[in-house]
Amino acid sequence: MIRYLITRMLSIIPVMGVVTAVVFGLTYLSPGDAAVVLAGDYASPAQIAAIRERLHLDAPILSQYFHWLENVLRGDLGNSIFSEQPVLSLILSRVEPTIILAISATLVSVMIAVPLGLLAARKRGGIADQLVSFFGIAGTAIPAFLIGYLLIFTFGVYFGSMPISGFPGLDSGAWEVLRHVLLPATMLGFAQTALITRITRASAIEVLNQDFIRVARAKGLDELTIIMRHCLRLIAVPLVTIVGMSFAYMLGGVVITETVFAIPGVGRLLVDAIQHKDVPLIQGVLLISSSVYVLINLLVDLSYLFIDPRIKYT
Amino acid sequence: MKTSTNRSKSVAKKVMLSSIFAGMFFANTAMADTLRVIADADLKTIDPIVTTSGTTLVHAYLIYDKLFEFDKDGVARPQLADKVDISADTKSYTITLRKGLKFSDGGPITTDDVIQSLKRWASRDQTGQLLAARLKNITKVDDLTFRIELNEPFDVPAALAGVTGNPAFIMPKRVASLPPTDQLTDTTGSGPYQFDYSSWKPGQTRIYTKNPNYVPRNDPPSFFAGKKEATFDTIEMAYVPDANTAMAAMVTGQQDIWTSPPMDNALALKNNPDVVVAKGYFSQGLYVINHVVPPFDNVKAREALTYLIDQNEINRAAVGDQEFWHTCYAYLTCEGKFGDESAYAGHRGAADFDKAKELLKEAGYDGKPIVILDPTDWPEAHVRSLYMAQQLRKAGAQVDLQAMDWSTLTSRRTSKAPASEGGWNLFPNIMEGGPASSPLTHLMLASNCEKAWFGWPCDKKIEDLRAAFISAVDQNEKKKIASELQARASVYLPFVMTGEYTGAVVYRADIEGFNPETAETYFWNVRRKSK
Repeated sequence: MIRYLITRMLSIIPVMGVVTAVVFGLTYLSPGDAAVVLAGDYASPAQIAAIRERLHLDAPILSQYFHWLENVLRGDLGNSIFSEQPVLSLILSRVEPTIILAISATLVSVMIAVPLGLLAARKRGGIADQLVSFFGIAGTAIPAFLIGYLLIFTFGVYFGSMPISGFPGLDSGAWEVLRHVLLPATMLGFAQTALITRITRASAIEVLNQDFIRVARAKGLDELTIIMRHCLRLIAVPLVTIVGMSFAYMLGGVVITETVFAIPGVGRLLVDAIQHKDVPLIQGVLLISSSVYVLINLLVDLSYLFIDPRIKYT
Repeated sequence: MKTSTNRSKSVAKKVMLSSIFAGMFFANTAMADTLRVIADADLKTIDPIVTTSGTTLVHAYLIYDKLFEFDKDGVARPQLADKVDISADTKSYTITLRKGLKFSDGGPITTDDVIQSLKRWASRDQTGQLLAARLKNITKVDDLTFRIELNEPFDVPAALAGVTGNPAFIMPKRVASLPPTDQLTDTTGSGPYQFDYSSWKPGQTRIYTKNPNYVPRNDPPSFFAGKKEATFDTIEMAYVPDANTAMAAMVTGQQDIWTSPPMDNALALKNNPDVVVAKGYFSQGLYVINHVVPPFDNVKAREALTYLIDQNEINRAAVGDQEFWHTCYAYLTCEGKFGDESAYAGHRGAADFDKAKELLKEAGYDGKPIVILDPTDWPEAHVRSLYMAQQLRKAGAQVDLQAMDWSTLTSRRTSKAPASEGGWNLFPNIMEGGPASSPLTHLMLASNCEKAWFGWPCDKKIEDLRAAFISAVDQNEKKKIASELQARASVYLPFVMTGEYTGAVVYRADIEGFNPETAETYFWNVRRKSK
């Protein structure tokens, strides 16, 4: 087990090496010039050249890459070209809304999706199943921003009782955070709910058709006990996988939700950095997002040991 | 009867649901002493000397003041300055500060601070550099008086009152001592508000509070000049990237002012009695032309472009509602005080494809694709790109329309390579009304070859006239030179014009004292009617 853990941890290093090289190469190849954007629209060519020189943007790409990599290995992600603040502190300042949004959306989606998926599996072919399947397709097909606008115009404009933009921060109290997060979490959770519902339904149908379930029914066990004690345990592995992956994806920033509700999360930070060609910031966000994704993937793998005792890592 | 009952039930249901939600989540009515503004963009840089970004300038106008400001007639009036004594030869300006002025940290504003601020400004700003080139000496007389001595005449108050670019804001000496390329972090200011740095949430909100040490003038406000009163205790500026969300926030009263809504969203709010949709600041629409590569290195080819532009047609397509645009053939704008449409000697009115074709032929156009840079993330400019591509094709030219975002375009425009080797021929742009109204600040009119703005127009006559304008102090003489300059520009064609248009600004109907038609939006003297 420990050997497996060490091997998995070590395997992250080459993965991150490739990630840094690809990220650096892509940002270098993408058109645009941070010095031009920073100088402003009316700057003269001489002013732009001076900024480019000050920021070392005129150095050869390999020199820039190795200089950046050396600093990363020392724990220094560099400074943003625009705000001149450390990249790490900029990212940390955006993590709070992203984490809260990801947790809230995951909670919303799991609480709705698992019961719906189980209900559809139990009533396979019936009206409930068809409705749930329709919901699953609709959730995947309807663009997330449309759901966001519907929520805004219903609860923000028509009822006029919900904040529709911004994120107040935990220091303003749980109630304020809840008010601001409810609509975006619902928007974000909607698509995830559809996905998890479909996975739950498919997995549960497979389990409910197995012999031991028939035996349990023959022995007179009630449906609730069969589902809660036998079915749920067996579908937990695919469920944890899909929930874990979607959670990791959300931690990397959910641009559309953050844009629609003006939430200053990691996703918007990345998009703004790309629009402004803020290379150190782009690299920092992508590096940390990739690391988090790889780490959560590892945690999901490890969680199988506790969910299903038959799984062993050697 | 049945209808009435149904309606009653519907109303009752709505009231009940509203009560439930209102009870759960208390109302979002903005606090009376806080002005809530949807900013045009996220604030990235807080130093107005490092960047010319409009977002940074809006921030800077709240927290800094200047020695002079322009009034509604375009006259530079003393602001932090109390008076200015000008020598007969207009080569010496003795400026005295108002007594009792303080920075937001309580420290006195002295001539040491002012001189250091002007030095930093002059090293960056284009107008400041013109002043620096004529500067013989700048000396402190005492804590409240200093003297600027010049080698040749120059309108110093007008230069110090400049609104765009890098305005000459007054900062404490310790802040202004920073190299002009290093960003300041100390936001101690001289203006009516102070920046609450600790509550700044990049990507979301920034908060300004009333500067308790600011001493406003007593003369009535006029444009940027006169009394600047911090009427709200707090100004909260939010970055709401999605236009539909911003529109909903305006409708519900969660925000008070929306400074740069997309035109479609603004027009959709026109019939809403709770908000006012007003005209914003005007801009000059134009095509930037590359003068160093064929075919537009030849004036005949540039003239052909004027025969392809029907200003009515292009503005109907790009802007829409006629309330927000008008045709204009004055190189220094029709709304500016130096603008002179009668000086324009070129083609006006409808497109003439035959004439354009003939001129392109005379220019020796060889049929190679004309590269138009098309900034698709800027809707109005995108339409202008499509329009010009269509017109050139109708005139028999080959066109290579290259789609890109504006950020990419700003890098691409620096290339002087031939169009077929990664260069370019033209792209749509605007010049804000303020700088476009003066030969001193119209960057795209400057035709000083290698030193000129992208496109690098090169014409000695224009440059001689600009120099004469800069040295002139008498307003009538300036107007005469400006007319000659515009006549020359209409022959040389450093760029071609597409008319003038304004953006829209939306604000709540209970807001008064807000002037949306300014180059950089400011929020002093703005009130809530119920206050």
